[in-house]
Amino acid sequence: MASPYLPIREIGEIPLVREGETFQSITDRIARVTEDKTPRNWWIAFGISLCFLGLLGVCVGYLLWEGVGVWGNNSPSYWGWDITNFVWWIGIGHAGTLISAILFIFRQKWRTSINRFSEAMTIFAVMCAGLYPGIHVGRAWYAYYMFPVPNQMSIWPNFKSPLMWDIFAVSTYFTVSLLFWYVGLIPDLATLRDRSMNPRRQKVYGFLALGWRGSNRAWQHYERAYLILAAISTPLVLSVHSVVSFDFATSVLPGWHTTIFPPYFVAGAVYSGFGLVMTLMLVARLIYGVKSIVTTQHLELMCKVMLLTSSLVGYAYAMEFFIAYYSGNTWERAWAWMRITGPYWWAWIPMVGFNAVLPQLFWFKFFRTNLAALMVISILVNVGMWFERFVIIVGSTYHDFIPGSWGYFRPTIIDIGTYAGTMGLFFTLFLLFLRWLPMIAIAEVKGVIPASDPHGEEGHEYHSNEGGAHDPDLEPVPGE
Amino acid sequence: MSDDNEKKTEEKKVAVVPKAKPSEKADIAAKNTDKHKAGEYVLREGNTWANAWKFAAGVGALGLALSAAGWMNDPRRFAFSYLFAFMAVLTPALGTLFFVLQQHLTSSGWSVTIRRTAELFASGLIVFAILFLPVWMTRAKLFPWVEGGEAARAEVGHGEAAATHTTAAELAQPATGQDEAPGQRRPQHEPAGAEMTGPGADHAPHAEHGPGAHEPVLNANERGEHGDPEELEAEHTVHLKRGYLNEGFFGIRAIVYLAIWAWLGFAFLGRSTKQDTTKDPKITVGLRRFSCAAVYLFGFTLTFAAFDWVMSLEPLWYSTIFGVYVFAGCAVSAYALLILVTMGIRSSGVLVKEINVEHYHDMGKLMFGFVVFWAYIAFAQFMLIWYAAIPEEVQFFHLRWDHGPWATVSLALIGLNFIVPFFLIISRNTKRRLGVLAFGSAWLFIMHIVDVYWLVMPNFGQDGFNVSWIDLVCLLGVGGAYLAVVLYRMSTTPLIPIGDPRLQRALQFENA
Amino acid sequence: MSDDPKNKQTRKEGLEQAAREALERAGTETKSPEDAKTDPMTGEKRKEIDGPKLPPEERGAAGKKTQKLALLLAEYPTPGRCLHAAEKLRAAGYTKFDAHTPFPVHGMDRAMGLRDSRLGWIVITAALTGTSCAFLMMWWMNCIDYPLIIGGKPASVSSIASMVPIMFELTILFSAFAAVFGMFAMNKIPMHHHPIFESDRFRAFSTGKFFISVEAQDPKFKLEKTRDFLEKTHADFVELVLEPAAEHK
Repeated sequence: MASPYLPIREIGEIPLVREGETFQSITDRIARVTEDKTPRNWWIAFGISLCFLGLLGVCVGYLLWEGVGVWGNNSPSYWGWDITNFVWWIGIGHAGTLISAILFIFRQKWRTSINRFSEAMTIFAVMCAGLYPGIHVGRAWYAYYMFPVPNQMSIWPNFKSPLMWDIFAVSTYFTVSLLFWYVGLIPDLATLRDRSMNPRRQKVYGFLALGWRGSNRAWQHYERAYLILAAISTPLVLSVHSVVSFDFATSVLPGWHTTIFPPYFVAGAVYSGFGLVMTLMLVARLIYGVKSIVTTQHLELMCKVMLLTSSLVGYAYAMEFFIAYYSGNTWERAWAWMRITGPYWWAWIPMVGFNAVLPQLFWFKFFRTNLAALMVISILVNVGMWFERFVIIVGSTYHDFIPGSWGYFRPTIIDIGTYAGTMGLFFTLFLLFLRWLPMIAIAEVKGVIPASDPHGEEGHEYHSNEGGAHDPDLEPVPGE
Repeated sequence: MSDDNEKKTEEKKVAVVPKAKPSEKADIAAKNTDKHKAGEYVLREGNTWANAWKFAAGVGALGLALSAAGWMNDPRRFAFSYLFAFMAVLTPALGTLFFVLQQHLTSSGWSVTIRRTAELFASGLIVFAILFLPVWMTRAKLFPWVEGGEAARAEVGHGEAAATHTTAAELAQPATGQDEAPGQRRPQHEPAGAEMTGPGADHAPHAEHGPGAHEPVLNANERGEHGDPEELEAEHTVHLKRGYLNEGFFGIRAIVYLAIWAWLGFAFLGRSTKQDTTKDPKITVGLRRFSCAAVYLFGFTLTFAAFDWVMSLEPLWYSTIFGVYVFAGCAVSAYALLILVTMGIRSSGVLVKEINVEHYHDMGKLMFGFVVFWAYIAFAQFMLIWYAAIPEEVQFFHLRWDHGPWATVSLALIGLNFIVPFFLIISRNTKRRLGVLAFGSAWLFIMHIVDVYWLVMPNFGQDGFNVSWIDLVCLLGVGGAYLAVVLYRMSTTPLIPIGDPRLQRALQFENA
Repeated sequence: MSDDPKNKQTRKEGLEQAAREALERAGTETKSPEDAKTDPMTGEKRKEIDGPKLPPEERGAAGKKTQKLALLLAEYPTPGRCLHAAEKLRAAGYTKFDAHTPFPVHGMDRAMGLRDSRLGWIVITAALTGTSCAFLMMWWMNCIDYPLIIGGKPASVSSIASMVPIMFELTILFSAFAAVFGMFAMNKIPMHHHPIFESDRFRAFSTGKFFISVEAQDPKFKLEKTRDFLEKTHADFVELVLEPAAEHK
């Protein structure tokens, strides 16, 4: 086999999927998870998640009954854990789109093993995030004000408000992610349909698979649609967290108003999302035995993406602090100084430590391949990113311009319960996904194993593509 | 090149490389040496491109000579024109360095055949160490923060000129929709006393001045050169920045940036040409590692160079995203440049097969991506400053939106550096039609020069917009000098990295 | 199905060897209609599909009058063979044929001679509609119907910078809907009933087998000739698929 696309070992390339995997083995390995008897561990995890989901119900119910006073938000910090959690969850979602769209456009084929997984994560994370604006308004039954419908004053929403932009950005993001995810699922649902032994499964998966026949005429449009979705999701994912950052940056508050916020938020979002993908992947890999498909190489590559995005975040921190100094503006300088020495110094330390410093360990192969280290770091990444949002939101509001209105934000038990509850929502949905849908894109993984190359077969010499004029696809069939 | 059959068999043999086990490495290296002869991809004597450096050197020498005349004639104009030219040529050069870094970081196979051209252009970065000297010598005319410099004095004059020349009609013009805020009418004066009022009271000065657009005109006329509290405030703010904005540190930083760039440019070309002869795959691994560290150096030097050489032209203005904005311009212009240059080389009959429509398709995609990225960064910077309307920030856009001709340039940047090229190269078909792609690249390259002009020249201060012959000769001088060095190296170096283990991937590359 | 030893073995062999084996396998494994009847894989469902057992009048008029014949299905073990079969069908002038593969096979579009997908045009139309809708909505609501001046930003087009985010989001939203539903329309899905699902072997398409189907409606379709043709393309198996019984008139 002379295909130049084979891994070049001299420069450290290794196959994406462990050698020896065939179309059949890949299908079996992934589809079996949804077909076998539910493992006991799954039930345990599901039970715990349901408890947390119940906690969310209780906390939200109490909030709606009593009003937002049950949270710690109060003057001068009118935004507290609610918006922190909103931004955190939205950010986590971004890795899914990055993996499914941006890496697709960059032809990073290693994404095939993790994209389904992280797309599902995106959708569930955005659902958790989307909960907050609804309950944050206090009187949730007026949440429809967020949409462009006239209210009783015959007034329209203020489209100059970044919060309105947020509504459009987040709902578009959710819708497009869902479409993208479903389109990716169609061929795999057909696989589950064709493998299913019992008629009920066959009916359900068959219905969802829309009668997919793997027809090349259909693949052609399918691939184009997938490419277009990837192409439009790429600016979309940039826009969503940019719009979230506009919520802060359009203000005149020192620490919020800075022009680097949009790309900085996007980098941070992708970073935290990769952290969570890593955490979940390590667990799923352990439980479901997909190590040959999600190899150490995948984990290493994810580490590298995290190193990159962490460095971008570090760059943004550096720019913020440098410009705070460079501006010569007392108030700009003050917020920077208060970040480090103010009463919330304890939040700033993990923010910088976990986001900008800790991932620098990924320069070393040891940390990129040691599963225990990965597990710890990937969790700390999300802790750090949570603190980043907390530092930005509370750390910029607790000191008003007038010392008379300085305050100190403390979360209440309901704040904490709601946050823990969203975890319950997330994991409940995620476990259902693991149980009932293929967690790895079967069709896409098949497309990256060597046997998928129609020219990689025996006896086919690979000819150079002479300026595109020579068509390697039109080689004569051997023996003809 | 001439013997296609021979080459084909050679390539077939090279294709065996990936299959080999590490133990056979030495063997392969030996075999490879017979295959791609270094001489094969070196420009022949008679080739136009082999002699192009002479032409570039001629243009450069003439341009620099005329620039010197410009310096004699109008030193202040020369200072700005030269800085503009310097930045306009430096940015694509840095972009090519970024291209090399990017390809190594991502271990790209498809781009191997183009990478050499980028390496050559990046290796020319050393020229800017010399070309920077006039900027250093004219610093007092350029940067208002230079103590006792002319710029500091001219600044005051300009402030008045701008204000007095602004008519009420112009003020009412809703260029940005922000004209109601009268504080912005005085771009060069720091209105919000950082110490005295603070940003929280940013809008307070507006209120004091009362509503109505006529107010600042009167104010400016009434104001003397000295004793104006706002000017004193501005001086004080600049004073607070002395730790960074002082001549000694500025000079040291410039040396650091220029040295790092020259070193990176050399390092990448040097290692890559070494691989041409040794065929050692370890060099590829080494360069990938090196590029990880290099990208940090690149990012920070580029950012701070942008702050030093462009942003500090308006020492009161600041924007955290500014380095990224300049970087976006670097990337777009570098892609445009690489597309144009490789197409030029192809037109002389070399590299016709090695760089084909598939590569251009990808180059087009990436260029398109960076055009969108530029627009994103530019929008983020503009919208946030426009929306918050903090006086010391809006002065940047005030200069570029509220003076007729510059507003036109600003609009042109939106329309011609984003909207038109966006629709021009969005389609797969146009990216694969080399004529259209070349047109789009040339267009974007020219618009990049306009973009740099738009960044630098409004600070020249003569109200409105005036183009001078000095701009042009400086551009020719700097561009010619840089190209002469690059093209000279190009005439002696193989045009593709024939020792790269992924070369075959690039040669057989096809867009799915 | 997956562990065809010959298949693996031939990987290592040279060109001629591969060809010889492929031919051999085609010779041994391609089932004649009589064999097909006894093939355990076909099960009960396929009991009536053998070509020669069909009344001659139906066979002759395949796809024209009775709709009884739906298509011929050929199975291949590797994407490469499927690709070459498609190339040959195209070269032979067939138009209504299709490849059924577990993943999109690189180069298949060209092998089948498909036109470039036109989906992009649908999407760009939708995208521009989205942009305009967003702009018109905000302009009418905030500038015309109930002008809102917020933060010193006038209720006019000059505040367009604040409209950009929503214009962008709706552009994306409309494009995404167009891409997905445009693709559905072009592929005519959902379509849960298709004669090809009558074949039991076909279920393997979503696992790791590669199929070519030639529709009976194809002007060049002649049962015997087409079947012979497909057999010569090194198919592992050639099968005749009929319209499902329920759809007979």
